[in-house]
Amino acid sequence: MQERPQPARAEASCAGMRCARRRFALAGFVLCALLPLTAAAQQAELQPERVVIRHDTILRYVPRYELTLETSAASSSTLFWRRVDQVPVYERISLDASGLGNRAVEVHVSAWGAADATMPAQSQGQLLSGDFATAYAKAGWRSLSAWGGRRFVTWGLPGGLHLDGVGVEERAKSGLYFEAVAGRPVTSVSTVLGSHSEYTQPTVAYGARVGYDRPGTLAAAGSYIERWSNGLAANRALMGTVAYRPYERLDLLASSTFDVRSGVQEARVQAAYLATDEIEPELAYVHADPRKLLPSWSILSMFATDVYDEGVLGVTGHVSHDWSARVELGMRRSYLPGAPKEGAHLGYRTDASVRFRPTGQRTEVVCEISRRDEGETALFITRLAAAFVPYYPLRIAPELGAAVDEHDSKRTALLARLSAELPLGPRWTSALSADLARTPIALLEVRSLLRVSYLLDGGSH
Amino acid sequence: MRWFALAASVCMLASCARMPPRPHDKIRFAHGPHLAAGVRCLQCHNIWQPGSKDGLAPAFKPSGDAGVPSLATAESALPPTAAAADGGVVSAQAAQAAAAQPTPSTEAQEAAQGEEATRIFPKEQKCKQCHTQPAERECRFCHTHPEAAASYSERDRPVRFNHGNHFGRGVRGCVGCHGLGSDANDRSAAAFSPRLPPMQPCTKSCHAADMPALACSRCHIDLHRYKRSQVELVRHPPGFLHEHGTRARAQSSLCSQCHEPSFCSECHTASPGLPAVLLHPTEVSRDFIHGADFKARHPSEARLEQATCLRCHGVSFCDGCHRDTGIGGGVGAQSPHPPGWLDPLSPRGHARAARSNILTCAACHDSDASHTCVPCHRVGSIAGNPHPPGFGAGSDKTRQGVCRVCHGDAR
Repeated sequence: MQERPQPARAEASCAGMRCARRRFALAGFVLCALLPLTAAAQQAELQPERVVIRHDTILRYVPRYELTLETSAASSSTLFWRRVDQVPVYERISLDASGLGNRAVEVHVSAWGAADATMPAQSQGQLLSGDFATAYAKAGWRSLSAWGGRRFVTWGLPGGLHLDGVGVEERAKSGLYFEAVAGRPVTSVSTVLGSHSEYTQPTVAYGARVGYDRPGTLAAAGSYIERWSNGLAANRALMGTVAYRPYERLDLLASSTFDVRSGVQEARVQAAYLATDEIEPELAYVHADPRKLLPSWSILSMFATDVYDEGVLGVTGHVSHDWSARVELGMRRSYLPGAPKEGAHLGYRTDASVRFRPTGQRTEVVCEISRRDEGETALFITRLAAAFVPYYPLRIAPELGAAVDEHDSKRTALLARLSAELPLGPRWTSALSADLARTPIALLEVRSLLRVSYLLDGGSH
Repeated sequence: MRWFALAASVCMLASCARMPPRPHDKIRFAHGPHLAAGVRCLQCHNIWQPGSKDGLAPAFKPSGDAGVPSLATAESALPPTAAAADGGVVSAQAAQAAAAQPTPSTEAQEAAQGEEATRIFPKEQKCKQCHTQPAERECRFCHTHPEAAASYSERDRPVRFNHGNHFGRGVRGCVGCHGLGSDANDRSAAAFSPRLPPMQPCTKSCHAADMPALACSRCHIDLHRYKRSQVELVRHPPGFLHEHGTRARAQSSLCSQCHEPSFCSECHTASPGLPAVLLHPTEVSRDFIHGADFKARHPSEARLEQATCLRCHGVSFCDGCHRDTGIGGGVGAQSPHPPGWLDPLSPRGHARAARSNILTCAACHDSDASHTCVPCHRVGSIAGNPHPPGFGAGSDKTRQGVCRVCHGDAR
């Protein structure tokens, strides 16, 4: 067994304590903001129009693997792995309350926590973890609204941005809107129980967006956002998005992110034509330059990476309301900027999926087949998943999956899964799931979970 | 401490759940007895605007060139009038008063005197014209919760609808849409209770294009009042998950018609501590876009489509996990090195490790310095000149093995 160096552990411990204090400060801030609101909500005037509360308790058995030098360790690859069994308990709670304060205030909170007392030696002291995923309150007055807390901002940067901060939004009836946000981007640190936010790096982000939104006809927006970290401007991104239906059977979609210093980070243009009510062909072009997606403070940004362009032809078939299918073919060209042209290589992917979901039933069947080949790596992935109700209200969901690495059979992964869900009461449900898997690391792996959930969907409506 | 914070959050949320329901006042009203007493729809639902060319209030004006129906057309197909309901809320006096009510044209005269005629729902004063008895004047006669009496709010309306735009387009009067109420088998007027028409006639004809465009807000004021199962009429097509990000950026208000922010945060968490796959074990889409045991094959996927990973997951997403398990971190997903490996100032930097025991490097790198070290450690490259000041004076670079790695051609 390979011991970690003591200084590193001590360093991590100190950082962890600092991190915990800061997280507590954040939690305190959020609670300070929410508690008066909750107290006020006890008044009749703040009775929410709608409130959705969901609470999950999940007991999970999952093996984790660490690299080891023990040659006796079972393995299907040339590396040796040590298995560490974990039985963590997860708690998650989410609240969405809208229509508070004469329908002007809404609150959204989602938080999780985890504990694992089963294997403290292997957990390296990280027995507890937890974080807020979302926690913000939004208040509106006429067309103007403002929010504060932790929120996921969908625009500005590829993949979005989680922000601890504030924002304002003005939405006119004409469809024009303006948004501005500022705050601290959430940076996370990983533990064996899952990552949580940490505040060891000084960082800030701010930006604004202007747009026009008329659902079903035209939605266009342009945004600019800056993210700073360690004294470096990590991102200065301009993003433009357009969704346009010039007439009812043609759907156009375009999106591009442009870094002011380095150029186009990614772009997507897509056109879908509803030829008949059943057939919808689609053409798309995608461009991505991953190196420009990396913040400049990341060491990875120093390395050259492939840029790719992809053309996609897809056809979606709405056979009936219950049956639908989709076939997609993508041709991809990857190349290293600055390298000779012969360095470029072509790849392709084909994806097909069929879905059966009858109306008014809790039955659903999905079959997916995908093959991707980049010349050096080829993956064949297939998945069959179903859910049905054999004896009401018991719901069963079997699933079979396979991922075959055609150039390295040792990396083939297989999965067989069986899940069941049973209501325990009007608002309570339980679920059980068990997996049997063959992974590139383990010849046979067993995982399972037990979940108990409470869901309240109520309000004065 | 953070557990205290989380526990406090749970208590706070639980207190929300236990909030006593606020009395929600409703207007106690039954259409059937009023119809049976001879009250016509348009006597209460005033659509007549005095002074306007066609007599219609603005809210009911057709936007196109559709013709304006007559009152008879608008009220055609009403249930056959039956005898006054004996147990209804309409008294005999009120029925007589209703019979003596003015026609819509006279209503228009009243509107000209200042009464708001554009509201579809009548004011209290309108009711009092017929309900003259003392008992009928008590608040509790109409209000279910007089202590929190409120008028019918326009915000309570589930849909935006302009009646004027729909007149003359094949709609058969009021009952053409609002007929067949609570008791469809009883065709008597006394049992009539108007219904809200279903969506299908709209979405199968003029509004067919709004369905694939998800232009719900054209008609629906707020879809959050419905449960997810009630709006599953709209289904995202297969493959939607792969493009939902672009659509969400372009039309976030479209998504928020049905989905609460916590729906997004099941997957889009700042710190992915609790995988979404655990929350919905019996959903066929529980794996989101990473189906068929993605984690087991993610090294292959990352090698195959590194650009695609980064489009959603930042660099710290990979580093965080690999850092903790000691597999990679800071270098790449395939590397077994700890974080800070490339940082010359880090206590876990590769320089210190190489100086202390180069054999640990050679165990994997097979003494292949020309491919592992030299690409960076050469003059003009990222790691700069590897020679310390004063190095090399008088050395024979053709005789030392380590020199020949770079200077092999100097023979």
